[in-house]
Amino acid sequence: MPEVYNWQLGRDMSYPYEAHYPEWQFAFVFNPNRCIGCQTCTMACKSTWTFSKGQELFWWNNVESKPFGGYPQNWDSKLLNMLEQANPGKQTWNISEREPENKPYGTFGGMTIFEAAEQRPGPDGPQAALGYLPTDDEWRHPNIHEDTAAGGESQSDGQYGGSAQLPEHKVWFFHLARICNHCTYPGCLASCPRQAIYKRPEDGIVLIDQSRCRGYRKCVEGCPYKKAMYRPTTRTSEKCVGCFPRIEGKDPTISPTGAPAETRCMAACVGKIRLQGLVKKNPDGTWADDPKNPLHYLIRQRQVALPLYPQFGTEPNGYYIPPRWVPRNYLIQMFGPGVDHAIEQYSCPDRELLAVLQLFRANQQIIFRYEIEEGPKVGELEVTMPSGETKVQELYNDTVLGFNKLGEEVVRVTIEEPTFERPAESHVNSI
Amino acid sequence: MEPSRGAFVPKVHPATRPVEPEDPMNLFAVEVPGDPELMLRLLVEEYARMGWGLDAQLALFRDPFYVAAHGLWLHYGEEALRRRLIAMLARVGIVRTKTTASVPPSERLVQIDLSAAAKGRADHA
Repeated sequence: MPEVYNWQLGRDMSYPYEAHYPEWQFAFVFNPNRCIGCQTCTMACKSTWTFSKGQELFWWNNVESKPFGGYPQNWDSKLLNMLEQANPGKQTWNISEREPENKPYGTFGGMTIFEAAEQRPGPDGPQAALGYLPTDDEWRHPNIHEDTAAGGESQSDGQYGGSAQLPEHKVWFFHLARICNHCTYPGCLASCPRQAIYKRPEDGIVLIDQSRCRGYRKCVEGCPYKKAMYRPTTRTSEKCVGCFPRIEGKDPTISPTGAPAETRCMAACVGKIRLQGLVKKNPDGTWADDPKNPLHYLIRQRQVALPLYPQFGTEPNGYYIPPRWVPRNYLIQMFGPGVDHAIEQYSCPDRELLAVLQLFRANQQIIFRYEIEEGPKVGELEVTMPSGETKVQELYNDTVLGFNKLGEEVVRVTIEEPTFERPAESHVNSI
Repeated sequence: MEPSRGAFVPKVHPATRPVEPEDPMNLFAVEVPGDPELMLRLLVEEYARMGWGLDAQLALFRDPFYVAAHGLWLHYGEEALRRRLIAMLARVGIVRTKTTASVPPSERLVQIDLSAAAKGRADHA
């Protein structure tokens, strides 16, 4: 099997095909710290792409609440368990080998889904990628068993709804929004026996050629994130198309000058948790040095945003700012060993980071470059650090400017002086 | 015909049935220890950074649709949560931003002449 370099793992890994890289790569950063789980993104995608017969169970975009939610149910814990069985006790990271450019999270010493698959020969030889086919029941109820604050009438035993039996569970959970990660080394592409799946050279979006697909569902099995889905009415598999007409700047209302626009799910986000873009790639697959691209800044320079389950080995292009209140071991399993650094950075953002964070959902056009116009200091804020201690953050009246692919200014966001709401009853004599 | 008394099984509301361990659709969760106080502090801080004040945040916490925030509302109760929110917001401050989009409007947008439409309806009648 050919060897390819996976920078998220900090090492070479085996993959069924030789490495080929796109000129630009579709990528995004989600911030679960702010997600309220309103499902607006989910419905924006559904109403655009998957409203037809046979697509009833399709949620190309879904928001699940962790730790108990999942679509399909338990997709991540099932695969993690399979990997653990394939390589017991050795799915570990060596963080002493960190290098900023090539190994930002250290080196993963365990097995990826491609490497573990070689150990599981089936009747037709080994799988291309370790995976499983979810049952219909697991697809059917996208929100069942999610953490439920008010799932119905409270019973005498404190349970809600009767479908769940939970132990004494203190409240903590977070919403994990997910779409196809348009991976650099896609599990779905590796698994397809018909070579019907391809990665577009212009933007790295992974698509299924419907004329070649015969519905063998190997992609459904091989995608570790379970974002390829089978449609019984056409007997083919389908997946997120990355809203490619918008990425191509073909929407005349949003992109009157033809500049790329964000996908429907990104553009619809009311919580401003999403920032989507295209990152420039070098011919060898490394990220081109593009320091003023907001995604490059957040992912590569500051390492505030981390890949989802990097240990699967597909080099996903979706990145997440880890939710700060979640137990650290859980986060490290989900986002890799960069969690401590990311949370430290995000908890008390400096001037530039705070400005870039304002670009989330600021405009429907993709922001390729930002500039900051510096303003005077306007206040100090108390922020909570990961240890629970508090720290003072300085706030400046800075304005961040966003530019589209054509270099046109599309948005400017100014941070204003903070306000403080003080309870009237405790300040009777205050003005 | 009279139903057999021996075969009668009293109906139980589904929500009150005991959980059956062999039922594959039932969730048996593993507790992962967490800290609701930390979650509340950080959520309030995040929403305050987005420019949300006390009323907006309380409305979110009250709404059962937003399960994460509402879970904390259920955990603490309205009054205790309100007290906490007031104390936290007084400390962390509310950050607002001013956003100016500079994308020109599409030339395809056209003004519909409503008077002509109304005239057409009148003629038709």
